[in-house]
Amino acid sequence: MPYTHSRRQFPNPKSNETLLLSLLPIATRGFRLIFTIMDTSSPAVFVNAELLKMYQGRRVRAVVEVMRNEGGVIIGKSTDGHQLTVKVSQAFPPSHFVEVIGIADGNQSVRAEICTDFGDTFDTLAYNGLCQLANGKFKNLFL
Amino acid sequence: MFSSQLDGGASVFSGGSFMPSQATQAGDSSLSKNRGAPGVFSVTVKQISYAYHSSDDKSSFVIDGVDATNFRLLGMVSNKAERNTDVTFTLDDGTGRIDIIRWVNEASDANETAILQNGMYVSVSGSLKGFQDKKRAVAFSIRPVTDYNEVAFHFIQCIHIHLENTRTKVGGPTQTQASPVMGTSFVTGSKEPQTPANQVSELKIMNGSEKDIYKLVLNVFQEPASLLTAPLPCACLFIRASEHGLHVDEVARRLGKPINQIKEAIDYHVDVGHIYSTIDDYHFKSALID
Repeated sequence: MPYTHSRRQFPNPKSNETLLLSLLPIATRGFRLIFTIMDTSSPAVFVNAELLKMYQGRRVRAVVEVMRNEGGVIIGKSTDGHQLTVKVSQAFPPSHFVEVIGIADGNQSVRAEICTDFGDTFDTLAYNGLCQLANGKFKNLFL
Repeated sequence: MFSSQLDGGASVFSGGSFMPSQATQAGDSSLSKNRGAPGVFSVTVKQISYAYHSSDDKSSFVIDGVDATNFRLLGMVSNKAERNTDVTFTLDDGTGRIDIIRWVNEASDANETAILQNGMYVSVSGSLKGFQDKKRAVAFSIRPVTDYNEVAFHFIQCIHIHLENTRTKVGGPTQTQASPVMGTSFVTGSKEPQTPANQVSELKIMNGSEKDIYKLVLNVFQEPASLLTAPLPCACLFIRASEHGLHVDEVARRLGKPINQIKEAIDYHVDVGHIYSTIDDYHFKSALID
């Protein structure tokens, strides 16, 4: 495949910025239009608490059950039952599930860019299984 | 919806039992290439980036060796731009981003797109179009996600379909698609993830004793020793498994059943695709790969 588009080594804080920055080389060097149509840089890996350790500093996505809010931080339970700390800009109702997409900074901590309230019914077992599959045998479909 | 799978694998469906209703048929095998509109695949953007043109038909794309022009993606909307005749946005599903365009021709289309907002999760069904490297995605259905279990389900289904497509090719030319992939689009968002680990096609309801024989024969072929591809040391006299599979006489001897019943069972399994003949008409091997 004619992919000469280089993967970013550092996490990008804003998705808009990423798209803009990825357009710059096209504008200046006239790459094929394909690179604006599909941008597979900065993927977010499906993680639970266990897998979070492997992706330090990288963009991850996880679902946590909100235990309590403390200031700008959510203390949550990951889909494999461990505690995770998420730095957010808003509070969420306790015992709701929140999907957090952001940068992993610390063994049990995520700095969130995007948070989505997934409601109060969510199948953590399924999501946990997905995390394991997406990082194991089927990593090439995701990353 | 079942038409593409009724011929060829007719014996599988002849019992009349009904796979759970498939609102959209996902994961058609290569049988569907000649049958009109191909099925809709759940895919990730990463998988789409690997798609390439099938050699003969420039308007269809191939993923995992299967015609995958129609796809379903699930992700977050961003950069929504609304115009008179169309709506474009970027869909980010965590594995990549893809630009989607939705043509707005009627009021119902406009309603569908009016509820879209940046940052919301949607499920998009559409088709890939393009020439050479220039791929575009045109959506024909955009549906907001209400039950978020659908997120996990969608990706698990992508894995499942990928596994199905990469597995069934190994069986050989005589094999038909014996295990149809479960459809999706449960309206409330399904809580039914299909872990792809052990998907074995199911035998349909048949007359009583036949079913037992068929099952017995199949089990013989699927014993781990029979699946071995290398010849075993001759010390083991009971198992004559080799890379040529099992001889029919061997199966008959093991089960203690009349040879004609065994042959009938074997014929059925070959039709369905569970086993295939190897060096001659009397040696068979299971098509199941673990």
